[in-house]
Amino acid sequence: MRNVAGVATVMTCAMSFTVPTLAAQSGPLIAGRVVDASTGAALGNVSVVLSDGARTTSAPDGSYRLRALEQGSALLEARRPGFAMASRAVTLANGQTLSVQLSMTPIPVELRTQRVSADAPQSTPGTTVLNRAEIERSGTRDVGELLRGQPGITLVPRGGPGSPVTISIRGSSADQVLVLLDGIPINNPISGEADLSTLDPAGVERVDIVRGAQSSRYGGQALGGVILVTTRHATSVAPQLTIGSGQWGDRRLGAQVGVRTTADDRVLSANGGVSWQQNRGDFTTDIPPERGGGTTRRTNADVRRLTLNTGGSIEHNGTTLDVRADLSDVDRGMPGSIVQPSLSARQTQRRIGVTGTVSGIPKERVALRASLGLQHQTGRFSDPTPPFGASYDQHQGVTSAVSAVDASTELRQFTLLGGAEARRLDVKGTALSDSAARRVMYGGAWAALCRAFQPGAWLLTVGSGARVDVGTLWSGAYLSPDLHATAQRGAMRLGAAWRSAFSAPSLGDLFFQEGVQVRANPALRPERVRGEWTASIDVDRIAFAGTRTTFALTGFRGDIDDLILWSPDFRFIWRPDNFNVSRRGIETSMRIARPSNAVALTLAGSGTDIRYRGPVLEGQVIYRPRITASATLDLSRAGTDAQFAVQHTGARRTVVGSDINQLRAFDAVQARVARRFEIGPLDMRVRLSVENLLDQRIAMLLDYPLPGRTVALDITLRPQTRRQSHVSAPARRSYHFSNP
Amino acid sequence: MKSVLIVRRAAALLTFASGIAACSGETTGTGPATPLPFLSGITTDPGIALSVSSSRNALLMVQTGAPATRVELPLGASSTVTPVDLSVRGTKAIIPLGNAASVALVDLTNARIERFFTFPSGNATGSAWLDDSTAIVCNQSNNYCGRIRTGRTANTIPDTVKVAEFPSSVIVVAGRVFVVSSYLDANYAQIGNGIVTELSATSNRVLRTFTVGPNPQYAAASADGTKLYVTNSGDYGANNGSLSVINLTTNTVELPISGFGDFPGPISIDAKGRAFISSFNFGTIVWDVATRTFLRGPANAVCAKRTNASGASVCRGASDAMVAPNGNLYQSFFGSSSQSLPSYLFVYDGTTLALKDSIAMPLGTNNIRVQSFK
Repeated sequence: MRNVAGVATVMTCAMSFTVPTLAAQSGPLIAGRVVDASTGAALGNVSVVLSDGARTTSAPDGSYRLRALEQGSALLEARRPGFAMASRAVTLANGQTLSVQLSMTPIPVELRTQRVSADAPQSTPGTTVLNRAEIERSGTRDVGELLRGQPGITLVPRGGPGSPVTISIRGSSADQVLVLLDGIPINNPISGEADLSTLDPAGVERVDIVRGAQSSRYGGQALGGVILVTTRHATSVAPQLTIGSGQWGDRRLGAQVGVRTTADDRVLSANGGVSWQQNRGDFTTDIPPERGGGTTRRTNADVRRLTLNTGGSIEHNGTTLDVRADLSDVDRGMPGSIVQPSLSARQTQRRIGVTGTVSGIPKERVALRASLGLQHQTGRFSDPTPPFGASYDQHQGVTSAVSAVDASTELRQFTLLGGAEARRLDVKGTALSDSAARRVMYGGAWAALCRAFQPGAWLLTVGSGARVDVGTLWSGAYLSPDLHATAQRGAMRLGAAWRSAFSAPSLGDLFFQEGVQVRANPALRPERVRGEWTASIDVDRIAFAGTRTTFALTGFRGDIDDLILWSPDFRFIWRPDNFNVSRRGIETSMRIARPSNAVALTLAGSGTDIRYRGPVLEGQVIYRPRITASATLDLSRAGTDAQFAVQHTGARRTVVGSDINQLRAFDAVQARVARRFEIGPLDMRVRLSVENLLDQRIAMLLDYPLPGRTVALDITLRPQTRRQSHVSAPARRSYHFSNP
Repeated sequence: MKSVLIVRRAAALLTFASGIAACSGETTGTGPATPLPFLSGITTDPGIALSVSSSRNALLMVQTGAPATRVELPLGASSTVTPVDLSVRGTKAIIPLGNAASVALVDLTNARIERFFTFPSGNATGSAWLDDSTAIVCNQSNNYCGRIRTGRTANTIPDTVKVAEFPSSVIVVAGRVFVVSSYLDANYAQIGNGIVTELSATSNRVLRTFTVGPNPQYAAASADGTKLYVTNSGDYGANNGSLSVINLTTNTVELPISGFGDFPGPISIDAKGRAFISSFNFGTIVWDVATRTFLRGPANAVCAKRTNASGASVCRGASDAMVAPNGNLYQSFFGSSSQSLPSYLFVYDGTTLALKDSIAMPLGTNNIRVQSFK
């Protein structure tokens, strides 16, 4: 029993420093009993978990009940220390009550070491996890689209499908969001920005959105937040083939496959996937009045993208070796702005990465993980006949190596977590000046201590942590502390945190090759969030009148010192400088699901006030919408799933210190309808997607219009026997403790 | 009753909204134009300061007698709208929109853009009215100038004529058209000494060229129209600014006069024969065109001083300067966001050149023109 409490403590504490599973939605009804397979006696205190995230604990008489579930196939699991896990595949339908008896077999030998695999109890305040099921339901074509509509997040695409997409969290710049692919940053080392269009959702297992200042765990660049992208595991990959076509010459083809087997106490798994996408991107758009008005065809916007992902793992005797590799190859035209179009500019970007991770239990009560990642990014930007200035042909190549180790242990009532990370970049290319550093080193070490205790009905968690970072791009060391606490009672949880973050200037900011009307600034200081306060309230799955409601509200305040922004000087030469800004905001989301009718409504919104501080500039920082909001309605009827969504993006300033010449607010409407068919041994899913349903003229950046109404059709084929694979296994964290 | 209330509230909102639109000057629609009394200024000072901002993409008009009374006209929500110049004739202005490669024709009476004229590509900078319905506008990227004819229905800029590389400004002197070319290549590097091209006022042809100093950008004519003074900005930071003088009677060029400091720019000449040449680096030089002597050189330029980070009193620099009808010298200061320096319009006594007043302006205030529309 003490171990169970210990596990709960570690789980609760660890979730404050890592990213837990977002509880997915519920479904019809399952009821039954859990019994001892050897004696037939009822088993109480058994954790019964459905793979969509619903969970309960069996009563002393062994009975359990899971209500308001979502229809479809899922895996039901029962776990209790001292017993082997029992599982049953179930298929749920609306209005159905499924009776499932779970028999658990006692483990016949006393274990010295027990591996406990547990679902995260609830998400850390300010975080969202999109699991495989949600990714599939979204039907999106890149990870950028996938994140659209999430509270506090603004995505900035530069054109139609396949165009570069960057992300802003809580009013941050794109280079203040750290994007990790299996633990390796994919942020461009020159610009600091991550292009989310290079990630294919078909190869992604889950995406963790961690909002706010996170340098105490993730180091530099984690100032606005962190996006953790985990590629698919063999355990969740059913063979599938996807073909798609849409407007603007959109053509897509993809396949995923995975295998898992056991041999000599070793669990071996391997998976792989490939996707290819091509777009002409030549949509019609308006010409601004200052260029004569009318419409034009946006040309030189073609995109070809190839992505590969593969992975393999070996589990043996509590130790796991996991190796993953990914490749992204993008070749696209750079059509320039609508006012100064370029007919010949092109961009090629290639990224190849390999990550190896070993995790295990070298000692009782100690879990250890070590990883090594290598990544090589190349890019070429050229235009033989630009709309102004001289022709250019620039290239870059960056090789990065990341090594990290982290560990967790339990010391009396406390949980201690810690780790260290080192990163080396070797930079080549013509984009940077001769004075630029060609080798950059970063290093960081972090530690966290926390404790959970339960006085009365409240489960309280308090924790603190800190990270120290050093690097060759700045002098001295940066300390990023963290304090947080949560109080949970039943479905409600209150949270408060104080965190800090920093983000070093990008190589481009410091050493960009000076050119026509552009000048770098080697004197830039790192951006700092010295203290970001957050307060939150979460209510998880309140059942009322046949509905289940999840609600979250987070408020934050964290000024940014030395925010790096580019602006023109008196000669209209653009260069980056440091500015101080104040920043505060709220994020909220609510999901109301009525499983019996297979309908769910999700509302989300955020308000971000990020203003210049100082005597010269005032008001909202440019291109940061104060208000964003979304509403999504999901319906499911007889094998057909439909989703209707509207996303509101508020007006954005384009002029520093002034409301004139704003980009107007807009509401983008999407509709998606998917239906499953059984064709012999195959399960075929056909999805029709319509983006920008109302055919509005919208843009996130001046002079970079987005396409109007866009229709696309996707067909996915997979074996019927693996149909349940569209319901993903919940993300898990593993911790290891010894039995008494 | 409830519906009546709603109607009343809607009407009140509409009234309020239209009031905001009128005050903000954002009357770019096609509705009936209501003339603003704004251009008359105030009784004791009818002056209006006009300035374009390449940071805000806007035209700002300020009553010099009541600086708080101002109208700002957005020129277009595009990153390529980068105006640095305007030319006024009567109550009409043409504003080249820089990288947008187009020109806005503005009715100043109503603070309203009447229409845009476009080049096929490149950019538009440098303009001058030739007569009430014709203006010359140049294209720096494509190295030509064209004619805007307000009477034509087409919005293109036809009748182009090739000029020397990188035309920066245009000036019309006694019916003669001069184009100042910096003579830079596509990378903004100097090809050679700058060239002033004289165009025929009546036909699309080049009459003659004058070779001046390095990197010329602006010019102004003497009050009698016999001399054209061209500021050669030189290399930024090289402190090699100079002034070329073109004798319009003999069509000859004198060797550049040196000593005009680091990167001098806009020039204006008042009725007293004083040339005011501004530089972002030190302020405004005052040079007597008759005696060819500095009344205020780069070392003691007319400027509004500030205290820098080291505690020293230093000049702010200037974007432009000109003497207004009220006799005062108005000097614009671009400002600096990185140095936390707001933009201003500084007012100096026209005789003593002593600082009298300052008018807060939006960041990025560039070239100015102060005149009366009465």
